[in-house]
Amino acid sequence: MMSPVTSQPYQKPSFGNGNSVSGELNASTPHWYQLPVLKRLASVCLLLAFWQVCVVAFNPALLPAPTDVFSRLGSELQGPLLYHLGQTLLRVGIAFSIAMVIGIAIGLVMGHSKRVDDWADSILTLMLNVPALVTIILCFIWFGLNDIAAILAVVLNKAPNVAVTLREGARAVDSKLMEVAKVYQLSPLRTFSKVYLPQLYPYVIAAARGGLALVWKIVLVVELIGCSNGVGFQLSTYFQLFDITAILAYTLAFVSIVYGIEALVLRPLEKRVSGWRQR
Amino acid sequence: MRIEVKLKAFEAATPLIADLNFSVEEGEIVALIGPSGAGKSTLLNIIAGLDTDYDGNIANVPERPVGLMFQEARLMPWLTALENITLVAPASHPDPQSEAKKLLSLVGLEKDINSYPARLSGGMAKRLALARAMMFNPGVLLMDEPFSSLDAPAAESLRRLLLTLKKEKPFSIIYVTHDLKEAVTIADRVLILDAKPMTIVHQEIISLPRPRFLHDEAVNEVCKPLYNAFPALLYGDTDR
Repeated sequence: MMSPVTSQPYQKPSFGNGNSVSGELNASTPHWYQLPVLKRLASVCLLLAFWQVCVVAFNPALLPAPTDVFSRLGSELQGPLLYHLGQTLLRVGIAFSIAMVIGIAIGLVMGHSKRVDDWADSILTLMLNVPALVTIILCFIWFGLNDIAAILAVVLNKAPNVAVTLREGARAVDSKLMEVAKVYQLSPLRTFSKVYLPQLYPYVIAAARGGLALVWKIVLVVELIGCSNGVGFQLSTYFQLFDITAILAYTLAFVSIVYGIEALVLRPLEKRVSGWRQR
Repeated sequence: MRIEVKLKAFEAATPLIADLNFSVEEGEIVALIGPSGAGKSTLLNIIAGLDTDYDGNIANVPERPVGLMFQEARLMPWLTALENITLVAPASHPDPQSEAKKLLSLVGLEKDINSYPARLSGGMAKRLALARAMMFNPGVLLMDEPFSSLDAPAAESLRRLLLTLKKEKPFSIIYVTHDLKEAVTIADRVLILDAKPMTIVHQEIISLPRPRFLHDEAVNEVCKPLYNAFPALLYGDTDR
């Protein structure tokens, strides 16, 4: 009598990351070497091997071998690396949170109010196009070489991006579903949490993922210019000493942590709030 | 429930609804039928309280709330079938979970309790929307061409389901359609509407015994003189 919408039964993926909708899902039982995690690992290992071979073969003066970088990372871990890493992550965390909150608020107001949007749109576009370096320099000049100026500079760079994404989210809110909430007399709290917010989750997650990538890069520049600790500060010190091994060791440590946050926090979160799209 | 709409206009020069008055008795099914674009959905929005910008009055509102079943199912895609139903349960409800489960089995969706709407067919989604409307326990249920997107057998079975649910917990229905045969099959009373502005031009009381089916000869007999009397209003649609 009624035919189901999908003619093929959906196969629930038993492995891999949530956002891959590739052909792998159709394979009945994947071989171990097809696991996406292993592919990711293998590509990194191949890169390291290539690097090592190049260094051994050509012995370049300005490129240390990966083995040297790893052993330097080991020794730096005994030294001040963790302290500077902590300082940087603290700045990233604070700036990221403030930028998200402000950006989401501005984006939602602009998305829902045509009048506010008309007034604020050109300022937003302006803010999006001011180079990060300019904001950073101005903040340090105006507010001094302190952490408040540093974090303000990052927030000013990031919040407009979040606002633009969330403005799209607010515009995409389905008024037909909001009508359902009204007809069925849902409480404001329930309307917000069960009808409104779920429509924004994809946009919040997108803003957060893009935000993390942008914020930590800006934080390093901020530290390089006007802070006396943090990974950026250390990088500038080692730049002056021409210590390439140390620069790469710091980079490695920091990138691993950011990758970890992405893989262990953001991606699982995204999978959780968009689970209904896949089941 | 007594509905009086003196005037509803989006632009002052062209009234959409003018002097449209009718009442619905307890447990009665009233079908509204008229050409597309006449403003039937707007009228339902007024009765449901979604649109308050009109001149008129809705009186003798029943104690239980007014429910509205939209033309589309309008389910929350991120909630399971069960969650879609419990969503509309009043805060004071003692046990929404078990009533929702009962409703799901009444509409034949007991196996899809944890399915997301994207996994349901059009007919199943409509059943779920109907179960949701029942959870709201309406005194009057407004239905805006609720089954028009379904194929004939699915629509037939949903109309039967609707009458079964109505017996469980009686409520009145205002049923908007553009199909006279469907109106005669489902309703106790059919109101034929004219457009620009929308008013009632004819009322027909349907006393045929139930169950009635769309292609019953008796339904045809009732329809024939009406088609002859109001050809412009009843034939104007694309599917006839």
